[in-house]
Amino acid sequence: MTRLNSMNERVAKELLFKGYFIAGRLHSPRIGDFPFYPDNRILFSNTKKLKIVAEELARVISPLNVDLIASREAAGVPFGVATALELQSGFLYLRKEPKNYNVRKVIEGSYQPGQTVVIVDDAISTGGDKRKVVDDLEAVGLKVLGVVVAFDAHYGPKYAETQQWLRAGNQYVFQALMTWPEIMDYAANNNFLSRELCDMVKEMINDPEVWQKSDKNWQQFKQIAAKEQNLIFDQSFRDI
Amino acid sequence: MSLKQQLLQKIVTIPGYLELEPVVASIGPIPFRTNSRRLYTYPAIVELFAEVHAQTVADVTADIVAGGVTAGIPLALAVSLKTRKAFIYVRKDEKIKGGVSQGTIEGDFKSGQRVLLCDDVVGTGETKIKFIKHLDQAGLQTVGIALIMETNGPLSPEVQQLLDQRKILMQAAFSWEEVTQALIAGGQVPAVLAPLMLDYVRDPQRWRTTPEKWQVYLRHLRELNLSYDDAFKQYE
Repeated sequence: MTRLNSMNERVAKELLFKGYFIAGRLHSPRIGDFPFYPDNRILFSNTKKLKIVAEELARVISPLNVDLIASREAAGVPFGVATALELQSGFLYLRKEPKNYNVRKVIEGSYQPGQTVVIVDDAISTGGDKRKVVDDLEAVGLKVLGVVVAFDAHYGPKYAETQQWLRAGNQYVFQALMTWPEIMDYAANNNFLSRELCDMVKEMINDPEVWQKSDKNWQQFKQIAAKEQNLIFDQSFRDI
Repeated sequence: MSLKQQLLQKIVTIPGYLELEPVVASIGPIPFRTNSRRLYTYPAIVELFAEVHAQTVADVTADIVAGGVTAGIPLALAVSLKTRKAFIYVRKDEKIKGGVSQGTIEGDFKSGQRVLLCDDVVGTGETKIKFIKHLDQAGLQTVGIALIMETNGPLSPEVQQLLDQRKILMQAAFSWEEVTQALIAGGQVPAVLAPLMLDYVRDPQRWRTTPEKWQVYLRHLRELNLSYDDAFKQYE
């Protein structure tokens, strides 16, 4: 199902703090090297911000009248738990590897076949791990209604193809509180980051693999980013 | 009824909380276990846990609440939301992603902060030591450990020494014996197994290494038409 809502401004407002946006040469196993990264994990350390994110995730999920919330370990779990507590619904978590007992199960928690479940996570990138979570939940007879995340990386068309099952099909609801390009525009419009930097990051998001191959891009990014007041610079920034 | 009693009453009625089939755990074969992950499906239980341990946060004057990956995360997060203390989580082992270390701790913290570590249960305490060492390396000071249940692991001497030396307060909501008694009182345990289970939780190590205990327990399981893995046939 296509995303119906626009950026959640109540949450976006909470993200414009020093510590959220990080610059450096940061590595992702799936996409390669990134110059810039929003640290969604830092959000759960701030109870006020986490509560706002959870309230807004719960607001999206509430009309679905779902039985259970499920998250994959480890980073998704704080967001899933906070949302489940907000909704007063049950919570399950999924292991990346089955535990080494003779009962080799991936799903932890109480559930019955036929119950409905929504997957909650901090973010979605290429969507590969979401497919795995959906498959694991459906394999035990749970009915997956959809995926709801705080942050959608929303890479360009090249990356959309493998995510059609979630983003374009009618089988699952998919909602995000905001996309990465949206939060970049929001940061620029509020003079939190420069327009020049935000446009460059947006260009990078459109096709990170092409962007990262150009030394000129990296040099230009370094020059612009160095002037920013509200960025955190990772050690790897020096190596650009 | 006290908060703890309310919590215990709710926990022991969770379907499937007590798993009577023997499994091979990290400490070796065990005859039965309680599945604390089932608690997380009940928001009222998670919130009661948080209420019980809000007191522990105050007792140790913690600045920050840490969840041990993964079972400790839901508990720590609930305590964090309840007490408005920041939340972080700590892994057992360093995470390597694409050849680059992601460290052991996720979240925002400052060096010198006092940490309450949350987890579901403690056995010998080896995992807790790993968590504490990672927190040490980040400059955080572990001042307390909040748990649902203490199993009579028993704690390894190394762990006991570390807790004593550093005056780390380990606070479990219940002992395994209390939980077992409540399970029995609540009619969740077949009568014939009750004495064997109580015997086990009082001294698990001795029980596990006594062949007669296994023989009797497995015989009762068969009589109750409860199945177990072929790996346990050698204990019949």
